[in-house]
Amino acid sequence: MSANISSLPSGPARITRQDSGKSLYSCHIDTKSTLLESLRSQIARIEEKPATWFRDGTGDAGAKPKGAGQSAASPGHGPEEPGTGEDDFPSSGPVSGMGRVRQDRRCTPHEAISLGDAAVDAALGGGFPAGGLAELHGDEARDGGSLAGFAMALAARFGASRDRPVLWISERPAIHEAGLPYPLGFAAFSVPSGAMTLVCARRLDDAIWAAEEAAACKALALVVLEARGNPRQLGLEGTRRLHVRAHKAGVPLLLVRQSAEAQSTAAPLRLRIGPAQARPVADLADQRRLVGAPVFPLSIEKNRSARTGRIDLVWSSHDRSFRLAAWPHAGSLPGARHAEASDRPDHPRPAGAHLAFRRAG
Amino acid sequence: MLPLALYQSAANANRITAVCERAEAQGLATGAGLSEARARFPGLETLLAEPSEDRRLLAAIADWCDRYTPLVALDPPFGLILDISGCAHLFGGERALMDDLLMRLFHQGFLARAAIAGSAGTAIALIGVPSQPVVVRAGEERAAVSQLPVSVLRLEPEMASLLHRLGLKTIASLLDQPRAGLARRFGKGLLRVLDEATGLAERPISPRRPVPQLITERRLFEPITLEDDVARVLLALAARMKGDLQARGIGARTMELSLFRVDGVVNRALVAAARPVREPDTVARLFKERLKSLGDELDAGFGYDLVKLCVYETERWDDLQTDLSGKAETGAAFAHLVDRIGARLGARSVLAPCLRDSWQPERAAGWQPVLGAADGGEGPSRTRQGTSEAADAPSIAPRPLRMLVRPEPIEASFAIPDGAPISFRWRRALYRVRKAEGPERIAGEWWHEDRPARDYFRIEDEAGRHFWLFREGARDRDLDPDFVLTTGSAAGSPAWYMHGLFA
Repeated sequence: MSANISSLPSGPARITRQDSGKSLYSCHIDTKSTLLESLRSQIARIEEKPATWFRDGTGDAGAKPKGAGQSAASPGHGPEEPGTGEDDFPSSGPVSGMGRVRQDRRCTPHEAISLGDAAVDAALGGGFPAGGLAELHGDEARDGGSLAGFAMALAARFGASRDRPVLWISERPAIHEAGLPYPLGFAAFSVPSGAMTLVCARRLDDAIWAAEEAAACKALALVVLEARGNPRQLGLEGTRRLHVRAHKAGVPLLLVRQSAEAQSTAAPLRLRIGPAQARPVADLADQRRLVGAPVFPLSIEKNRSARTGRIDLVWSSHDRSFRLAAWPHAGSLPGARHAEASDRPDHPRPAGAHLAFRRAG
Repeated sequence: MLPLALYQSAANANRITAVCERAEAQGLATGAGLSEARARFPGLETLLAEPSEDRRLLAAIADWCDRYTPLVALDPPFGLILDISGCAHLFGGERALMDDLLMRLFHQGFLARAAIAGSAGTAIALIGVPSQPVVVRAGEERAAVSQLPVSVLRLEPEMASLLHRLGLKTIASLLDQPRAGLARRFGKGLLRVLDEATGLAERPISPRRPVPQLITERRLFEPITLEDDVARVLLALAARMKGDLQARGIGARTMELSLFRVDGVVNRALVAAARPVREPDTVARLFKERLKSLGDELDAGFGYDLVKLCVYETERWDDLQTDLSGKAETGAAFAHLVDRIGARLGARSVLAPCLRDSWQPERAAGWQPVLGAADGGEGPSRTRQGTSEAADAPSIAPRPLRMLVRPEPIEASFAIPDGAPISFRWRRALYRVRKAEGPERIAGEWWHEDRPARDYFRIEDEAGRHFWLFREGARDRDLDPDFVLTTGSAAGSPAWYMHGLFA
């Protein structure tokens, strides 16, 4: 059993399974607590969170750091096939009479890929989700360079190549506002210029349709849907559709919103990116006018698997990885201010489990 | 019903150009003046002729005639030429095909004449006079046309009247003359039309639509209107097509679905595929997206009674041995995704990068449609990508991640004469420059004389945004003779442009 566990790429899945096992035993003892357990697991399924979110802090956090550390230890590892985790646990499946305890595939927390730095991964709660929707927005259209830069860096992390291309879907106004992706510029992110296919949709509805189609295509390294602002079609319902599709197929789908406000979304992860001064060039520190590696100030506005907060990332194109620019940043993870009310879950979360998560990094 | 005549204004006079049979029976002939005709026939209704509408109607009928043969050519103003070689047996022979065609046209309200002959010239000559539908066997062309008047040859008016005055009124009389004399007296043109009419020379026809490589079709006894029914028929056609494609070792790149409506309208949907396709399911899915995007343009009306699937462009497709790992499948999955998106959003919306040998940034890299081999660009650009990527990408200075669709003019203050900008105004917002890298000079291509050199700067503003600006033209020509001033900029001052955004 332990060998199986270590082969899992991330922690949360394991926690869930252990807990579902526990709930099995408890059902012999007390029917009331069983009911509570099953309700909790149902809520967890609906919210797509590990069941541990909904119980009082217990000693279940040990697995989390292990999982995060492991995914960080193997940088550049591509997204796993969804479902390998399920096959590793034949024992958790056959729960007669209490089938609802068993996690169905759609709601298992997805594997995450490492961004190249253990601290960064820990801040994101184990890495960047390798399947499903993630949202990225910038305040102004002129910040489009930073948005595109982070998206391309993610594409590099997801291993974009000509065989596993990136599909970049834009509505036409977004392209007129912030320009077309420029193939020669991908070199700064170590992405081959042939690794992108661009879909230039005349209307936003077409773009969303294309993104939904692409979200089910496992041959893609990353799907990027670029839209302007907070359109009605990409509200809670629209993002939910995208997320469910992408999550089911295990395809990472990045929704990039230009000049958009924070808005409630079905994506488990929402990030805000603004411009930031680039690093000085390392070898030419006396040349103060030179522009070095790009910095991405990342505000984690919503995150299902870790705290919100702000981190600054530096992209290093040599080792194709992010590093933490400043840690801890002012107003950083511990005791960070909570996101706006619309992001928060309906009920308060117990704090103990999260503190345990932090020790992971 | 009143008798009807159409008139047209030519040479400052309104003349009758067409009359209905009722007016003809009363004695009105074409060519009469409009006022005269109105005076002579008080009950006559006259309308202005619309040649453009006539052409449109003829094109629509030609579309409809696609049900008989893919080779339909226009013979303006009122004729069509159908090449039915190899098609007649599908309709039970030439005579049966002609009867079917005339019967259907009659039911649609058209008066039509038809003739079948071994060469187009003979058939055209035969329908020049009102007659019964006729099928001329090979070798009988001369006998068939010899009794016809010369007017069926459609000669120039002067030549026709000259022949008339000379007493050469039938084709037989022309054929009796010695050829050399005819050629000397009337030119080679007359001999050519004569040869075409008698089947000695082939009259070329130009089909109005491209000729498909493969066609499958299904005629339906009961017209269908439902989308699902169309999809089912399409699937059956695609399944039949698969066998033909397989036998030839090819796959389809461009396909067209033609839906023939009962009332003669033809709806068409064209799809393209990035890779050759053969599987019926794939074909059906592509057309499903295409038909969905057509949406309201596709009006089934009273239903379709003929569904036709044509393959225009094909590509060689050898059968591949696949392994159990399923790796080959992922590439195919992506190609199919591209096809579906292209079918729905239009083939021009799915773009792939193309690199060119140029230093002009906007020329050096761009986007071109993945689908549609008609451009012919895909093959070369692919190879170019493969060779160049590793070689030239690191050697050039950093390039922006996003490039504006076209350079946008900005107002910049800069260190004279040719320093980096200090602050600039782009889209009405002011930016102050903190860091600047540059200049990187990119000279205009010498074969374009009007393109001056550009100095590119990579800029970081106070907030940390990174831009790619360039300057065109210089303040002081003595200082920098290479820098020619653009005609558009104000006298003496260089023009600054925003061109791209860095991460």
